[in-house]
Amino acid sequence: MSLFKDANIQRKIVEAFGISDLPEDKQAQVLARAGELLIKRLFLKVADILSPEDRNSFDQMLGQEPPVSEDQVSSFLTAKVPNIENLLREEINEFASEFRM
Amino acid sequence: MENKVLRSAKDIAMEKANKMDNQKPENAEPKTVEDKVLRSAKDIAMEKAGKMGNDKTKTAESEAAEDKPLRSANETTVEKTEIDVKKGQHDRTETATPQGEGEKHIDKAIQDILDAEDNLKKREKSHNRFSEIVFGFKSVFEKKKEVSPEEKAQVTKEKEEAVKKLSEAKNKLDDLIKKRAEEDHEKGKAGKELIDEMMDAKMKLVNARIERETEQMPNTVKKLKKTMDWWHEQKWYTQVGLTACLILGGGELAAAGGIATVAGVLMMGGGTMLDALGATAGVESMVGSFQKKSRVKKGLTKEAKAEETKTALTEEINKEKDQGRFNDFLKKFDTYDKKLDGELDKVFKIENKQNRNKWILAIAAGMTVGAIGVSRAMAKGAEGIAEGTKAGGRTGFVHPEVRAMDEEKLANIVEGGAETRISEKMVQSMSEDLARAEKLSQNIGQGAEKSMEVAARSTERTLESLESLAGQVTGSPDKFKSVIEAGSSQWKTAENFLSKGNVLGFNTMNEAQKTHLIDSVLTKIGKTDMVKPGDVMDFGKFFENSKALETVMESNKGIVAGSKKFLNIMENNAAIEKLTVANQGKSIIDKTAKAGETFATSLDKVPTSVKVAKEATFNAIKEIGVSVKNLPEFAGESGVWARTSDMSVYKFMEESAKKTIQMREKVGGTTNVFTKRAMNGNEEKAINFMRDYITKIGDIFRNPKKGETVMQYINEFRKANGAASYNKFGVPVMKEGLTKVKPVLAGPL
Repeated sequence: MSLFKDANIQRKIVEAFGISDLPEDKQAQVLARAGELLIKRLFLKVADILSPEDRNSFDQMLGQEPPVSEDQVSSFLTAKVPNIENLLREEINEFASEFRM
Repeated sequence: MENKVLRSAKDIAMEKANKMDNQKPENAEPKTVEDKVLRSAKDIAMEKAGKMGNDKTKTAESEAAEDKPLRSANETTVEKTEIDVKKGQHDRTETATPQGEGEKHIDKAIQDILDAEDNLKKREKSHNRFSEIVFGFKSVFEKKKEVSPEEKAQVTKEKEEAVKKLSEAKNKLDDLIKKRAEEDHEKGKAGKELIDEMMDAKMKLVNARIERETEQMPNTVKKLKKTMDWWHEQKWYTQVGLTACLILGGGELAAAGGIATVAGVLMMGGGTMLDALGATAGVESMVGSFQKKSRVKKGLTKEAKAEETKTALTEEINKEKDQGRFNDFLKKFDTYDKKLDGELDKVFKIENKQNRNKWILAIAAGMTVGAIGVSRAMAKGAEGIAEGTKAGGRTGFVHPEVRAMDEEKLANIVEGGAETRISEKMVQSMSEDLARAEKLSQNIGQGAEKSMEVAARSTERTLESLESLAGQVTGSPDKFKSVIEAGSSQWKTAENFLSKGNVLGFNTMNEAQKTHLIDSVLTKIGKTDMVKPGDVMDFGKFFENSKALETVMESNKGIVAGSKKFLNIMENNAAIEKLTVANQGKSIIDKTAKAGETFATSLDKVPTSVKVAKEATFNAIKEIGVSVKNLPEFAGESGVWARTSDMSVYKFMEESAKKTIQMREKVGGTTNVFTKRAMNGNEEKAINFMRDYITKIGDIFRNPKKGETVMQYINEFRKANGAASYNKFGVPVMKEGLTKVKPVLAGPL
């Protein structure tokens, strides 16, 4: 299962931001932006954890044209970053605590 | 004649006398005075008649001879009864001539007889009348005697019942009237209260919009307050009428603005910018017309709808508030996004940035679209959990509302029974949240203190600077003048002036404060549109009015780091910086155009982002049911520049683009959210595109005149520039021989 399509992760996002009472169009707006920012935060964390070589590989992977699949990135991160799921959950919590509505 | 008359009278007298004789017994003695009079009158009449018979005239004789030779007095009298009394009376009058003594007696006797006859008639009449009355009474009495006691009782009973019914009916009517009056009173009172509430709600809504959208419009707010005061002074029926108008008009106003701006950008993306303005105005007219028709169709708002309207207004107010919070929330995201981008740029390669961002967007979209489904399921699950909790079940799920509870409530829940117990993990999570909130609160407090310190220091510096400047301004000495150098601009020249002398503590200000001060200086000294190297700028004017200077500095000190104004200025600066970099090294250009050349050849290629915007807007308009085909028709209708009359054309374009993008999100719903993100900062690009567009051909644009309509503006523009044709991107093609002058790029537009 892709790291980013885990239902638990998705549930965590909705819970963390406290947006389940919002209309769905507003939820979509928040989640679209929150998801983007969350991935950016995760990438910054991952960059700290990865070795310089792995970081460079990861960068090359992201810069490929056409873009690599989501599963490829997910597999790379799962392989290179221990407890990536936990890291993602921590990021969600931390991010949401700063920006909760 | 005379004799004839006399004879007639005689006949009458005889007749009467004879008649009376016939009615009485022979030789009866007169008993009453009346009888005596009649008897003596008869005697006299007989005597007279005898005498007259002896003294009769020839005429009388020949007359008598024709009938009978000699007739008795009696016979003659009887034969003359046909002569009426009145005739005799009349004749008597006519014969008032001197007569002999005997004749006088006869006349007297006749008169007496006639009088007696009259009296008799009167008495008879009176008697008859009396009899009638007497017999009438008698009849009534007799009739009354015939009503039995039972019948009488029945009549009495019926009468009483009728009276009773009447009383009851009257009482009922009284009650009804009273009840109706009370109802009317209560209804009127309730209606009035409701209307007051509605009006207050409406005004709050207006206030909320004004506060949110026009923070820098104190005059409008004052006017609104005045309006509110005026409102409360009005009679209730005036309030009812006005309320109806406001309710009917207000709800549709937002839609009007929204649809119009969407239409404007649609045209902007595909047609010319001027057509976009026309479309905006046209659709505004269309919606205005729709509102008018709607008002006529609906008629005045009835009391019955008041409650519904009130609820709708309350919801709208809440929506406005929520929308305001929501927008602020997203704005924080935007700022944070920029920060993250900066950090990513340091860690990863810039050349991979575009593909990296695309990848991030795709992943985020996939992840969060799934999350909405999860959210939906959660919402449904929450209902079930709530039911389960009521029934005494146990749950580890915490609804977001519970999360928001304070510590005291939380403790109550934790210590409560099984029904309200929540998992230990959730308690821990909530405690952590509370701790974070407390920490955040402390940070905010510290930040506020720090801001106040900065503001206080800024004030001190300002006062010091003002003191040092006092008395040095008179005559605008040379030290307040600066020459514009080649490659520089008015903005840079002002910045150098303020920085060089650390004027008003300029060098210790934050970037936003510096921008504000430079802008204020240029506004005060009268920034011109066109300058050339060697021109002199005199800043002395800025310092002439110490009160105005104090006002500027008072405003300046409020621009503390992190404040809304600070962020706005910084964002604006960032956009300008990009534009400045893009136009670096370009100088004043005088050029004679060739036939077919466009104003801005470098803009012939419309950015992809703008094309995407056009498509998204087109879809959004389709969703709200506005016929795109009809838009150009409405563009021809007049729209007044009222709201843009104080704006520059640059500012208007920018505002228009921002509002349109917001509107597209609003009408497009969820389907447009990812479209917008896929455009990857399209808003900024679209605005920059417009800025670039206007800057390149800016000298041919002018600010709209107050009261000028969109179509007037467009027509004047076309006429002045001879741009009868446009290329496929909507860029006007130049008229041959037209001289175009590019303005100096000088700081914020």
